[in-house]
Amino acid sequence: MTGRRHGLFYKGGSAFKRYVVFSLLALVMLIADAHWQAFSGVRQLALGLVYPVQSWMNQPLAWLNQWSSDWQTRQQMNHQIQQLQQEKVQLAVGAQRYAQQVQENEHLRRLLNAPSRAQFTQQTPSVLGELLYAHSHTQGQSVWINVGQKQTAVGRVVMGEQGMVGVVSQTTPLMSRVTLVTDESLSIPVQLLRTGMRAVTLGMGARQQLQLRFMPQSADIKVGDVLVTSGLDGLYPAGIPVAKVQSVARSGQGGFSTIICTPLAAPDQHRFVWILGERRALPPIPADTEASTPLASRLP
Amino acid sequence: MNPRFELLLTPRWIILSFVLAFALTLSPFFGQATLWMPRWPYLVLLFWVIYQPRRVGFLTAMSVGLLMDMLGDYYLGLNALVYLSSVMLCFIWYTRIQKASSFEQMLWVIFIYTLAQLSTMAILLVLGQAFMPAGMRLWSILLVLVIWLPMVWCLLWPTRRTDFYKLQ
Repeated sequence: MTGRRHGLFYKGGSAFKRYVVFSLLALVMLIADAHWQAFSGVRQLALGLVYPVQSWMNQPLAWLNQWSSDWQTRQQMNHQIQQLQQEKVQLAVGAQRYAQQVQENEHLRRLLNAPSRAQFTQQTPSVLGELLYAHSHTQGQSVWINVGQKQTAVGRVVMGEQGMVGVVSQTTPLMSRVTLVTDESLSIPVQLLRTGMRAVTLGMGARQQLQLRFMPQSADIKVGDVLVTSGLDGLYPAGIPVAKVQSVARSGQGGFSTIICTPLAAPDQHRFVWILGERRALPPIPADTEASTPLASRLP
Repeated sequence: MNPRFELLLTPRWIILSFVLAFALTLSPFFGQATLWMPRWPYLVLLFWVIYQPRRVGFLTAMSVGLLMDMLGDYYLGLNALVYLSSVMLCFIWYTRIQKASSFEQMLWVIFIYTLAQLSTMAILLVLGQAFMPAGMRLWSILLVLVIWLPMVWCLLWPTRRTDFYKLQ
């Protein structure tokens, strides 16, 4: 204890002197800085020297930030991948269901002994034809194509890539005449794709449009509805797109609406057309029976 | 003083510890929490004055204080004055601190640290400065409780070598 005290005293005396000297120095600096801003230049210099150290110390934090943002991006991407995979599964389920229903439809049709839709549309081989002459006047809308009577026959459907262009109306050994859907003399039995309602189109000649005749004002027809052939006439196959409804005016004459349609195939813009093959013949219409006769005889 | 400490706590280790303390002070890692934290170089200085008083004394205190003044917004000499006084207190109570257990040493450190904070505030008041930052730093006294013992454990790392007997 005494030895330590002696040591402390010995050191303490010297220590106290040094303390006083250093403290006076610090005090002078403090007062000089507080009153005259004597060391502002020194401070600037020190901060400038320290700056690299500071930025170096900042580096781990910057790395951490970078890493966390990378991590976030990664997580977002993972999340998106998961979502897309879920959607994919859902879509696959939908697609599978669609395939199942197609199959089921075929099966039911087979059970009912009804010919499938494909049998109506897939026909004897079609022929590609090229337009030779355009032959249009006010009433008649027709073109000549380079397909002779050996390859086609009157009444065959002529198609563009969008839909029906017209009907073969005359054949010669080397050429055939195609009456366009816009011809005033051509009527096509059609069906609204959306509602299944039946109607008959009539060409409007030079206007390059079609109209639906005798449609009641209450008929459910909207602008943009697509008309396809109904196939009920025994002439044309079913399901060929023909026209799109362009305008519906409910205030037509005689209680009918005026419905104007645009042909989907733009008949006057084609260079090459397809002529469909022969349609598979439907079974013949049964002869009038006794039951139907009285009703028919009552008609005027 | 354990002779083992004198031998193993080399000047290189002392300088390294101060460099690390300044790096921690400059590091933006703690963000706004820096305001609430005790100054690392000051704690390291107190540690060395207690554990290696022959090597660390007034000159170190003056240098560290002036560096802190230049890095912080304090007047040049303010921290130096306070640090010098703290070192002087350590020397005055040298015997008691040396004999104390590590927990009692921590209480001594907190006592000296509080005196230093109060004197900082007093000097700033005399100079006519608002002492809010220093006032906030009073809370850091509580943090010394948490920091001191782990810090001592870290700084005594070189004394934990097993081949000490070979050096003797």
